[in-house]
Formats: sequence, structure tokens, C-alpha cells
Amino acid sequence: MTNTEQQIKELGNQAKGELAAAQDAHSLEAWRVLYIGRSGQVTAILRGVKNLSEEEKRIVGKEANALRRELEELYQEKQERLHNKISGDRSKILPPPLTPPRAGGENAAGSLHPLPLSMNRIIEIFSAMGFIIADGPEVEEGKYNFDALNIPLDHPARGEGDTFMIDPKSIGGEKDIVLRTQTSPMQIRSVQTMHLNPPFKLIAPGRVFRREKADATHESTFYQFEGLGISEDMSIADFKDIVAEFFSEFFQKDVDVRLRPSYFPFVEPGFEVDMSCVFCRAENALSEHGESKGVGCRICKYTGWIEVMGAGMVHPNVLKNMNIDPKKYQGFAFGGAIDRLTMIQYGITDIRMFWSGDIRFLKQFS
Amino acid sequence: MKVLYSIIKQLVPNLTLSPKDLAELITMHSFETVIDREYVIDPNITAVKILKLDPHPNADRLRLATVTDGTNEIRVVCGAPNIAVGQIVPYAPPGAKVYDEHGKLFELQEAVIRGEKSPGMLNSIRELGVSDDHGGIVILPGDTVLGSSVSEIIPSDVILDISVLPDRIKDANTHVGIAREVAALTTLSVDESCIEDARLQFLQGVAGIASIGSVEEISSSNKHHPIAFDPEKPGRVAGIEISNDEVRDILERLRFEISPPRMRGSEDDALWQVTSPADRLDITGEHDLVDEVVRFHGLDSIPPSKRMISAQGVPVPEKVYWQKQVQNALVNLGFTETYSYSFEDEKFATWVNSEIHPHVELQNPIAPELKKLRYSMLPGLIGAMVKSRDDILRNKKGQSRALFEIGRVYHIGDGGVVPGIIERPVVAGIAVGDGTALQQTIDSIRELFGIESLTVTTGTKPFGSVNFLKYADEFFGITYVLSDELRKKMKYNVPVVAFEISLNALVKHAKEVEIPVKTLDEIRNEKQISAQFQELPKYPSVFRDISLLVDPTVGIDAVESEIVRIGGAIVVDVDLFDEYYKEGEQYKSLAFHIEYRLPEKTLTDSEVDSVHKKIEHSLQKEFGAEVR
Repeated sequence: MTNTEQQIKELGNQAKGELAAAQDAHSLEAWRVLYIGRSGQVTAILRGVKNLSEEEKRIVGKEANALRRELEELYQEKQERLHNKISGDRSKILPPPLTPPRAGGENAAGSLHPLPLSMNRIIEIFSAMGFIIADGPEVEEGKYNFDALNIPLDHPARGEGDTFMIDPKSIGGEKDIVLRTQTSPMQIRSVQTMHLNPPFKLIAPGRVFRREKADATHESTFYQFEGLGISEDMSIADFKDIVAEFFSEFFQKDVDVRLRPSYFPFVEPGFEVDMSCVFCRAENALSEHGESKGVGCRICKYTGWIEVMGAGMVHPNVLKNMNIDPKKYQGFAFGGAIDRLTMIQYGITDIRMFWSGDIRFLKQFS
Repeated sequence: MKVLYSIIKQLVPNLTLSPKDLAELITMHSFETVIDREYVIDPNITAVKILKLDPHPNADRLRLATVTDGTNEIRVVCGAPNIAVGQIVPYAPPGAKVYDEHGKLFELQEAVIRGEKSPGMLNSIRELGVSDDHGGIVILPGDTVLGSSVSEIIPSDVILDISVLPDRIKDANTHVGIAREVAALTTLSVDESCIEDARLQFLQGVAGIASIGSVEEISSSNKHHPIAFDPEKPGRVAGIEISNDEVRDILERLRFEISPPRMRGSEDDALWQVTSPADRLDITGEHDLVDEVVRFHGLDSIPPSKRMISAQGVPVPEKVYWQKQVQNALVNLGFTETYSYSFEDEKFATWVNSEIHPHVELQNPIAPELKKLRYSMLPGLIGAMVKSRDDILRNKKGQSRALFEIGRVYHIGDGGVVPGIIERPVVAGIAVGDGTALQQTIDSIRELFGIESLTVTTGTKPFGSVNFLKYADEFFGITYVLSDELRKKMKYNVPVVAFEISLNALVKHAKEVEIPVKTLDEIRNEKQISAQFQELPKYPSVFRDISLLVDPTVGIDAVESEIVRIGGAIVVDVDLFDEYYKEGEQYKSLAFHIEYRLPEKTLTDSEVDSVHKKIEHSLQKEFGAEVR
């Protein structure tokens, strides 16, 4: 062993000994400055490596670095322990903690994820309006995901492209099992298992899956809520009533909704639902014809309206699949993306943040 | 689908709506329509014939085109790959206005391009303003008169972009199809006689404009079967009064045939027989006719019924109620809620030996390493813990050091709702802490649900010591104390614990509760989180510590404020992480983490050092502090 290597070893032992002896933040800080701070002894050795011979550079560099890493780790652990200890001694200056140290961290503020935050609110608002909450499997049978919803055999959604299919080999040979692409299957199951007869209103919130490349506005996994309201006379006027109230409650401002014609296989007539832009239109009244008064912003693409939902009056074939007589009953169906509403509400710009597991994002919602 | 406003006007001669109003009308009753663009071609842009093409002496990809307008010859520089001798193309002289890549007009100047003069240019369709295609020069029809204005071949116009709905592609995807829809909407009529086919065909080719469509289909003998139709139904579906007269009027405007015909003075409330026009292949039943009537009446003119919001509320289901209770309990213990994919991340899964369990697998995963559905919540939580490590380990005061997630795991088996698969909802968490903290968390959850003691079976795995919890002889949950080996992989030098509890077991054995019914008023008055999301920083922070000795009377707030004041925008956060004072001593010691960061670049050490020094000096001056 060379002279320098010997020195490093001795220095290391000395440092570890003194570290173990440090009893408070004072001494710990002093130790840090002495050994691994910018002017510390170990740091100095590392700086001096460049003046050594090639041979020595390699060995000494390696040893010194290893020592520095080891000391830094020990320092962190000591710091952690002292921190918890000092909390006890701090009783002279700071008030004592009210509860014993908890897993989440002392004085730590926990927080909810914005998606379940929104989902809970959506559930509460609809429950207050008399909607039953449906539940069901995320991994679904193809017949519930497509057939019962009047989706024709040649619809693009059925292809391998958009839908995740379960490998039958992995589940004992069962075929035609998919990750659900919408929550409407839950509605159909609920009607069956709860033996629901009209009149009823229900919503089915849950996780759904689409096989798509992820970008700022698309993800493979997201949250939807779909609703159904069936009775002898459940009408478009009733739907407008419910939906305007829902959005007003959700965004906590009065919003207007407007419907325009669209197409989905499970409804006829089908409509897109737009909501008056909560950013630029909230305080501005509409003209008497419902036109936006020349306001607009980036969020609503300067139209004054944000597209928020697809909906329509349930197609007779779908009613029949639920054993409901389309001659006697009618009603609405709607679907919205919880992610989208949450992004609008909190100004989140990238949907992938919801899945990041990054506490810097997650803690913003406490 | 792109259509020309002028062609629609030709087909519906009495149409007075502006392009903007027409777009709005079609959007509110038929298909989403926007104005794609408006273009005017400068009359000075003329048709010329290419006589000669020579290579540009100073540029490989440019050529010199000699063109004639029938009288004069001119030579211009041209970079397009598709031109050939004999073609007739548009030529814009200096002074003419052409469109740039942003759709704005600019005045052409005589230019010198790589040493060769170019008095004007030959034009692409983008420069004429008709589309975004800039791949080549427009080739005009072979019979175009040389020297004539291109604006005679392509007069100024407005292009409408119409999103025809999937069920109307067969009949509405042409100018005639849209004209019929517009005529029905405005009660005007379609003029089938004068269709300018040549211009449209040319623009179809160069600018993706829709075809004219055929008018003969109207009189096709391919008739549909009549559909039994109750004229009261549209009003019932809409929830408003729509008179039989209006229903009849709408259907007739749409060229439906109604039997029995209107009888003056009669109350026409028996069932009608309605036959759709030959081109409307999308009409298959009564519900389709209801759609026609309702959308023509106007979805917008249906007011909210005002009878739904006073409906009686219902309590949320047990599972929803208890899930919220658990969420709140964990948040109160300092846990941060996270979400992970249902697909298992292979890397973290192997850290906890998940591969020994057979997994439900996807046939077509997004990526091969995301083929399996998660068997346990642990890998996802470990992944989040690793992702958030910097913040968690920095241990800033008040920093949460624990994560939780409520979600489903997917197991193979029968007895679930779907054959072959059993889904299980789980409450799972992971935290910096030891066995005591873990026990406390489990106890808190148990007490919340009113569940008494659990039976525990211990075990050891390579990744940690594992306790299996049971209640009433049924599976309840698992707790983990992560091994040194696993923590090393995660780069956590502090103890870490985790748990997974079956939500079904919790709800099944939960104490009785009466779940309250919330009213809309109560919800409206609840305080909501009004946070606006802050973008995560693009560039890394630099952390420096500062330790001081100060007089015991000096306020911490004052010191923090001074640091922020001197540091300016570059100081993102100041965090007191240690404070020490012993009775009778003349000084107290304070230690802060200072976080430096700029939004637009990575900071250099010297930049940080200079600010840090300024702060140190200022604290010495202001508070008489001794900086250590």
C-alpha cells in the first residue's frame, strides 16, 4: 500500500470515529465541513489527484472516491437520525408534535391525486341528483364492450388497433376478453345485476384503456364517467337540465351548455355537448340568442365554448339489449372524460402527469 | 371534407348567408363546419408555358425556367421538382401578392437567387392560397390560354371544412350532398342545372376539394320501404312541443314522402308512413326520423326542463363511502396519493420477485415490457418512490415521505365476474419509516373500519420481511419491511415499509354506518381546492446550505425574507432544517437549505456561488450573523 493509500485509510477511520461521536447538528456540521465539505480533507485529497503520477492517480482516485461516497452515506444517515432526535430536544423552542412520528413524515401534509379528487366529486354531485353509482370489471368480455352497445362489426374500435386484448393462453384459454374501452359495459351489467327497471338514472365512473400512443392529450389509461337515464318520458330537455347543473357544480360557477348534432353507434339522435368556457365566459352574460359576446381565450380556441362530452338518446337496439322495451321507454346516455375535466379545472397541460408518480406534481393538490 | 362556398351558392342560388353564418348553421343542425380559408389570387398572376429548363449554375437543386405568356419571354429561378417543358403553370411577376407559409399575403420582389436574377416566380398551390400543399408547382389544364389571369381559372373563394358524420358519408360527402342539406335547412331549393365541373375537377386534383356529386340520385327508382312513424315522438324525445305541422314540414323539406298526405283541417295524429329519399341510406327506423326532426328544429332551442335538479338524492354506495374514508385517513397520516398503470413495469416487478406468479397478459401491449397486468401494487409504488426520491430524501420540513394508491390488481382464476380473471381492489402504501410506523398505519386503518385484531403470519422474501394478515380466517392484507438489498436498488439509505390491504375485506367487515345523503346545496357550499397546476421545472435546482449563529432574538422569518430579497428570482425556496438554542447561551444556530433555480437554463456553480456569497455578506451585515 502506498503512502497516500495508507493516509486515506487512516483518515477514513478517523472520520468515521468522529462521526459516530457527533451528538448534535453543530458537531455534525463541523464534521461535514472538516471532512467532506468544499474545503474538507477528503475533498482535498481528490483535488490533489491530478498532481500524482499515472499509476497513483488510478489507485488513489478510486480509494478517495470510495471513501467520499461512504462518508456521504454515513453522514446522511446520521443526519436523518439526529433530525428525529433533535425534534425531541427542540421542545424548548418549537411546540412538541401532537402525534408520534407517522409514516407519512412529521408535520407532513398528505394530498389526494387530482383524478380521484374529481371522481369523488362527480360521484357526489350525481348522487345528489338521484343517480345510482354502477361498478364493474375493468377487464371485460367483448360482448359487453362492443356488441351490447350496437357497435357494428366493422367499426374501427373493434380492431386490434384501438383495444387491448387479453392473451387467452394466459387465462386458461378464455377468448374475446379485452381491457374495456369505455365504461358503458358497467351500465349494462348493472342494469342486469341490480335488476333495474325504468325509471332509473345511473352513472358508471371508472378506468378505461385505449391502445394509443401517449402524448400531451392522449394516454393509454384514463378515466371516464358514463351515464344513463331511462323512464317513460326522459327527454333531451331533462338531459340539458342535468348536465348544465352538473358542470355548474363541478366548476363552481354558472355554466351554460349547448348541444350540436353528432354520431355515436349507441345513440340516435347523438350530440356533442359544449360548455361555456369557464375561463373567459364565466362572468360574462350570454346575448339573448346564446351567442358569446366576442370573448374568447386560448383554452376555448377563441370560440367561447369547450367541448366536454358526447351524448344522445339511447338507440332502441341498446335498450333491447338491456331488456327494456323501446316502445315504452326512452332516455339519454352520455360520456365524459374525467381526465379532461380535471385538466380544465386545474390548468394541467399534459395528461401524462397523472401517471408520473412524481411527488412534485402530486403534492400540488393538498 | 372541403367544399367551395361559391359552388354551394351556385347549387342553392337564393342563398344569402355569409360563409361564417353558413358554417354556423350547418354546425348547429348537421355537421361541424369551420372556415378553412379564404383566398384571392392576384389578377397579375398569369398562365405561362415552360419553353426551356436549364440547370442553375450555382445550385444543384434549382433550375432556370424560360417561360412565355404568348408575347414575352422571361427566365425565373425555380426549385420545384415536378416541372417539365411544355407545361402551363402560374407565374407571379414582381409586385404581385402571393401567400406565405402562414397564409399571409406578401408582395413579391425581384430577387437574386444564388447569383441568378429571378423576376418573379412560378407558384405552388400554397402560394395561391388554396391549400397548404407546397410540394410542387401547380400544373394548369392544357387548354389554358397563355397570358390569361389565373384568377379566371380559380376565382377567389372561401373553403369550408365540413366534418361529415360517419353515417352520412354516403350521401353528404359531395357539394350536391351538402347543398341538399343546406337547401332543406334554409327552405331554399337546389338548382341542378349549372354545375361547373371543369374547375372543380381541377381543384379536386390540386387542393383536395370534394367532388361535385351527382344529382341524378334524387330521382333514382331505388326506393326504400316506408317506416311507421308517430309524429308525436320527436316532441316526446325532445321534451318540448313540436307540432305535427312542423314535423311534416321538416320531413318534406328533407325530401321524405309522407303518407297519408296532409288533410286540411284534420288532427293528424295517427301513425304516418314515411319513405326516405333514395340517397339517405342512413335512415333505418323511426329513431332516425326523430333525429332528423329534432336537429332541424334545433337542439339549441330546447330549454332545460328544470325538473331534474330537484330530484331526491341517494347515498353513495358503501364501497365509494369507505374508499373516501380511507383516502382521507391516509392523507391525514401524511401520505400522498399516486396512480400507476395497470400494466406492470417489468423492472420494478423483478425487484420484488413478481415473476414467480402467473400474470394475466396482453396479446397486443403498447410495449413488450408492459405485457403483464399487475399482480400486486408494490412494483408501481416502488417506481413512484424511485421517481420522487430526490424530494422525499431531501426531507424538507413538511415534506410527505409516503405514497398510497387505491386500485385493482388482476389475478387468474374463476369466480370473478368475467371468466378467467379475478379483479381485486387494493389499498396500498409505501413509506419512509420503520416497523413501528408501519404498524401505526395499519392500526389506524383497522380502527377506522372498526375491525378488531388481525392474525399475522410472518415470512421472509429476498426483497424484505413479509407479514400476511388475516381477519376471520380470510385474506386481509400483506405488510412489507423492505430489505437492505431492495433499498439499495432503490437508492434509499433509510428504512422503507409498505402494505397492501384488500378493500373488499375492509368493506366486508366494516362497522355499520349510515351513509348520509348529500344535497346539491351542501356540495355547492363545500370548499374546493382551487390550486392551479404549476409546471414542473425544466432545469435542475442547485442546493446550498447556509448555517449561521445569530442573536437569539433574531426572527427566522426576517432571515428568510432577507435571503429571498438578496437572492432575487434565482432563489426558489428557503427551508429552515435545523435550529438549536441552549438556555443561557448568547447565540442560537440556524441552518437553511437554499434552493437555486432558473426557468430558462441550468445554473453554473459560479453563478450560484456569487449569489450565495452576496447572501452571506448581507446576513452578516443585517443581523450580525456569523456564517459558518
